[in-house]
Amino acid sequence: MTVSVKLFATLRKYLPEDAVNKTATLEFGDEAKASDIIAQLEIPDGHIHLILIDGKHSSEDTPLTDGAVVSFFPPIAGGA
Amino acid sequence: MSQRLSSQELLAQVKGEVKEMSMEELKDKLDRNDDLVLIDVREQDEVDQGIIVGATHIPRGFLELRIENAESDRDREIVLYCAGGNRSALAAQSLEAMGYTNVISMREGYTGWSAAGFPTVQERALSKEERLRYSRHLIVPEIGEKGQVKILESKVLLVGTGGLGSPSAYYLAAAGVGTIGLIDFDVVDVTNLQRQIIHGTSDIGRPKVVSAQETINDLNPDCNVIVHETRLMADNIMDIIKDYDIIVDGCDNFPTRYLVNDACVLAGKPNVHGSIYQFDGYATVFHPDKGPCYRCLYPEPPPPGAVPSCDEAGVLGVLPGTVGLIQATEALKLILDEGDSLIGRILMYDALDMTFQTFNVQKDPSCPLCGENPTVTELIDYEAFCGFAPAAG
Repeated sequence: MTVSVKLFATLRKYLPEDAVNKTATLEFGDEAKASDIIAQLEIPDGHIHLILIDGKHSSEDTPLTDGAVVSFFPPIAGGA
Repeated sequence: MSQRLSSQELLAQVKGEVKEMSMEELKDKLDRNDDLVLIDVREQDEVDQGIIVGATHIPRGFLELRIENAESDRDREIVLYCAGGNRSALAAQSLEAMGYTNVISMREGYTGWSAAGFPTVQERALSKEERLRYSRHLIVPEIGEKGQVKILESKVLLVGTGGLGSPSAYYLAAAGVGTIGLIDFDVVDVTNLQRQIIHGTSDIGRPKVVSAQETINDLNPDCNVIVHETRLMADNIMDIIKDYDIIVDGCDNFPTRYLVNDACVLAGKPNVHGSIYQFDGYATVFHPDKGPCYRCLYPEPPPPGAVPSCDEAGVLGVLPGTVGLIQATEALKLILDEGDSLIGRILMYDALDMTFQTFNVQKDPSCPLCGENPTVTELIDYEAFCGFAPAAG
């Protein structure tokens, strides 16, 4: 299956080089979960705090579906 | 030739045509919680002396223009009153001409009602100057005189007087927030001025809270600015926030984010959150009774150094303006109790894509602070919690 992956703020540096409009297009097998995207993009532990799959609050264990749009948000604390 | 009537003849004619009720009938209806809309059509200076509990004030001169905002259902029971039942009878006729089918004028008016000792309330009245200053608020149906009084009586604490705190404090003061608390221990630096618009070049080297206080009071001298020139810590936060209705968090580090969150949950205060990074911003409202808290979304802080601050990573100067004003907007909505707040929703703003997206977030039943079996029941050492050296002293 094919999923679109969007990375925000501090996570942008983990986008693959062929990403277009800050969106990566990735291929996975049938049983894939959100955690497989994190592993493939080599995002270290503790850097992702919110996962959104097709607009719904999800977790690393949420199964992926073909055509899903998956967004990863890091925590940010800036304000000054 | 048109008919000539004296005022007495006109009133007699109108009163013969419209429906009237006695003040006792109105009292019974209100006591029974009958479904009706009660409108006071007197002038502002009369209403300043008192109004029937539950009534909405629309002066007769604006009644036809504003009635549809107050009540669009043409068949709902609408009771009008003035001082003595004359102007309300004329007003009732006018509403009937607009197609309202169930309009009733209360015969004895406010004078009879208050003389009988029936319940009235005297609301804080706006001064002449306030009516002018906030006139663009007063004509918005969702705000009006009532809403403006709520704003004037509100107390908002801004955590940080930097990128986010500058625009939110400035606009909240302009809107009329009666008491604004500013907490910051820093002094103004030239590198702040690319975005921290509440400070000026002549303020470089001065405490931020003092500079911000002067800017605010130049804009709105009636705003009571309370300065807290201190670092927010576990041992002072509860005492500082206790006097405020709403906390607007615009700080710049994780330990303070957790500190503000925990203190707000323990004190039962809403926390209007904004955070920024380069071109991205988040905003949400954490409300202890109504939605998740910061720990529900971020149970564990990121490893130290994983997320650079604005000082380290830089930030588009305009970005905190956008996010800070979303925070100010949410604070005003909480004060007014209007609209759909960002409670239980997080807004993600991407300035490069120019996209705003919101998604729903739920309270975590296992949250150590606001969940079903809380393990965090008092403030902790937040520097240590976030992996930094424990806070001194």
